[in-house]
Order: sequence, then structure tokens, then C-alpha cells
Amino acid sequence: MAVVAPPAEGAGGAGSGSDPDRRPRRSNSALITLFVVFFAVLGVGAVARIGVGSALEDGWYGTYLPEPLDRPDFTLTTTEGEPFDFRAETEGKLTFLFFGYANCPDICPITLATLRSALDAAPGLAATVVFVSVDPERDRPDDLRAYLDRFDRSFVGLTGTPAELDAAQSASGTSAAQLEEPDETGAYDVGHSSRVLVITPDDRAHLSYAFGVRQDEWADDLRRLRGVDEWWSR
Amino acid sequence: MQWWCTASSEPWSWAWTPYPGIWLSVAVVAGLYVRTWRRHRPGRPLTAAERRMPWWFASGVGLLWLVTDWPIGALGAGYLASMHMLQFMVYTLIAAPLVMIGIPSWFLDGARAKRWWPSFATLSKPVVAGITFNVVLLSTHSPFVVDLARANQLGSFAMDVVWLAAGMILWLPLLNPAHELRHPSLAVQALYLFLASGVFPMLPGAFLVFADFPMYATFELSPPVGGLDPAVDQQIAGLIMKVGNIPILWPVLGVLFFRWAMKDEESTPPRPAPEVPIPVTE
Repeated sequence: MAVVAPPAEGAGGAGSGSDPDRRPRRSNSALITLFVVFFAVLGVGAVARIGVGSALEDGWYGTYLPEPLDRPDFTLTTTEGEPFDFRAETEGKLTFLFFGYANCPDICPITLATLRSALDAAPGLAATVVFVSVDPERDRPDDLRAYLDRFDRSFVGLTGTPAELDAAQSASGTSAAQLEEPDETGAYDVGHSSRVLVITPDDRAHLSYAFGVRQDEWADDLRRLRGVDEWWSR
Repeated sequence: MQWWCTASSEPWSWAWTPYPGIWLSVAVVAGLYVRTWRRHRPGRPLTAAERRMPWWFASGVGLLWLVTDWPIGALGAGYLASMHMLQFMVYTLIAAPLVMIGIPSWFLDGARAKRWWPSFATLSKPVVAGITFNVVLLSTHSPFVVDLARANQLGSFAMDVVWLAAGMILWLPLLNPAHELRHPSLAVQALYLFLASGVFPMLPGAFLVFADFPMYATFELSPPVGGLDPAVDQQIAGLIMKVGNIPILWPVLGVLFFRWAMKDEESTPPRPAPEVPIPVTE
């Protein structure tokens, strides 16, 4: 004898239009659609990100200079007050040359922090970082030294008279810095190039870095630079 | 004038900056609350708990305002990863639950018949809510999304809205205004909260702490604030994500555990009294 079990309490019969167990499954499509759209947006983003990373010319994050510059020839003064013949002092060395000023609110501190971090990530790479202050009025030697020491004690600080600085920037192929109008407190900004010039041991500048190259990208380039033999042999 | 906090290449300034979009949003949310309260208020006298609800809601919205507007909002949107993380923690672990405690169940009386209600019920399940919250956490802290969203006001606004929504979803199994959708077991609630907001966020937090380089271009290339190095700032952000939930999470877990223990004790049937032999006198 067949025994028919009574329907469970609260369950509707098969095919019932008002079956409470069926309705949630049908309406979950909104939730599923939301999830699908969300992941699709993420996926498109990831693909876009990969695309950006692989499209760099020559594989450098910095700008490769097809016609490299010669190591600049200029003389300025160190934070110790000694004359510094840039070409003679850095000859045959991997050198990073950057023009800025200690009161710079953005480009200079970010660039110096980036350089320090990237050099830390490329151990064994002997490099000289030279920071030239284009604001000799405010960047007295002690102030400039204290500023650079916040980033790395090995960073070389240079400055000079306006005429010497103009000559140094010209020799480096860098646009001359411009002092902007002071505000009511007398503070002023200095418009200057944000470019870091990389001069390799063959005494030529093959690469330059505009502001915006990130620490991990710098580190990748420095590790690669370590292995570029033709730039190391003079 | 900007209407929402966003990344900026301008050096940070402590000069107050107005963000009218934030004020408008707060006003709209508060206005909607008052309107709904007036429309749906039941005819019976309100309970003491219901009378306190507007204060809970106002506290939550006030806190949202505090961390979205200048200075925290502006710092978090474009200058400091640590402030970005602080915002996220306040949004999801403090403001969102306060807002939810402040919503009476009769706000949702008319919603139960809506087509989206079953989706809402599904979203209230601990597994779904936990996964959703952590997907939002991971995606809105991925460098691609942060750098993209924080670069413009609309993206920054969207990220803040998504954070608030994610925070509310996180708390649905515990504080759902529709009480029938809360998970019935306090032990499961405690375990869920521990896993969803205590354990899983430690993984991305560890990534931030131990990364070799700053992960977010927004914070790495922004003008420095207070001389804070972007790598150190990111480590602080990672620490906030890893352990910043402790002052919120553990007291809540303690309360849940205590309630669960009390409930368990109440539901245990009393032991029968030991039988005392009746002395028989002859």
C-alpha cells in the first residue's frame, strides 16, 4: 500500500504560482547580474593595466635618448663650500643629475625619495646622485646638506651663482629655472625641470626620467642598467 | 570648486576647503530618513529602543561626514594611504553599523513585497555577505581601482558609496533592520564577523605592510604631507587594515559571545532536584 507523505508545512504545491521557495531563485538574477558586471569591470581594468605596462618603447620606463648627450661640463660649489668640477669628479661613474630646490613642495622630495628607494633596491649598483639647487638665495649650504640628508647622506648637493647655474643647466640640456612671484609672506616657488638625467660610465646620457616614473619602475630600470655592459666599458 | 574630495597634484594645505557635494549628500540622506520616519511611523507608541534610533543614525551619518569631508577625506583621497585606510575602517566598521542600528524594522514594511527583496535576503546570508564585503575590500584597495577612482570626483564619490554599501552588507547578518533576516545563531554571527572582517582583511593588510614599493601611484606621487615617506605611509595603512579592526571587532565579539552564553544557559533545562528519601516512621 502506497503511503503519501503530507506536504511539509509552509511548502506550496508543485506548479503553484505563489511558491515562496521558487520566487527567491528567480529574483536572485539581479544579484548575479550585479556580480557579473562588477567582475567584468575589474577584468577590463586588469587587461587595460597589462596593456599599458607592455607598450613601453625600448623596454625602459625612462626615456631612451637615441642621440645621447655628453657628460655635462660645469663647475659649482658643494655644500662644504668646495668647488665641484662635475665632469672631472663624476667621470666614468654612473651619475644621476637633477635640478631642484629644497623648498620645493612636490617634485623634488618625491623624486629624491624615489631615487633613494630605487637605489636601495639595486644593491651593488654604484651611483652618484647629484642634486643642483637652483634657489641659491634660500638654499644655503648647511640647509641644502640638511635637506639632502633627509633622503641619503651620500647625495651630492651643489649650488652656485645664478650665472653658474644657468651655465650648468645649459650644459645639461635642461631648461633654465624660473623664480615665480613671491606671495604675501615672501615665499615663492621655482619653476624647474623635473627631469633626472642618467649619465652612464661611458660619460654619455642615454636615459632621462620625467616626473611620474614610479619607484618600482625606477628599480626595474636600475637593475637592467646594471647589466648593460656596453655602457659600462669606456 | 570641487564637489567631492579627489587626488590632487597641489601641495597639501591646512587651509579649509569646502566640498559642497559632501554636504548635499549628508543633507539628502538625513532628509530621506526624516521623511521615511514620518511616513512609516507606526500608530502605536514607540519603544525606548526605537526612540533612540534617530540618534544612532545621526551618529553614523555624522561620522561618515567627518571622515569624508576635509581634512580626512581630502588626505585620504589624494595624499595618504593611511588616511584612505582609516576612512575605510570607519566607514565599514563604525559608521555602517551605527546607521543600521538607527533604521527601524518598519522602514522596510513596504519593501518585503518588492521584487528585489529575495536578493536582499540572499545578500543577508553570512557566506554571501562575507564574500561580497571582502570582494569589495580587495577590489577597492587594488592599485588599479584606487588610482583610477581617486583621480576624479565621480570615481572618488563612487568609491565612498561602495564602501558604505559594503559596510552595511557586512553587518546584514547581525544588524539587519529586517530582523527575520538576521542569522538566528549568535555563535554563527560571532564566527562570521571574526572571519569576514577580522581574518580575511589581514591578507591584503600584509601585502601593504611587506610590499617592496608603494603600490598606489596616487599616494606615491602626491606631494608629501608632513615629510611622511610613501612606503612608511603604506605600511601604516597595512597595519590599520590588519589590526585597526581590533578595538571594534573584539568588543562586539565579546558581547555576542556573552549573549550566546547567557542564552545557552537560559535554554538549558533545570536539573531535577535530588530525590530526598522520605523518612518512614513505623
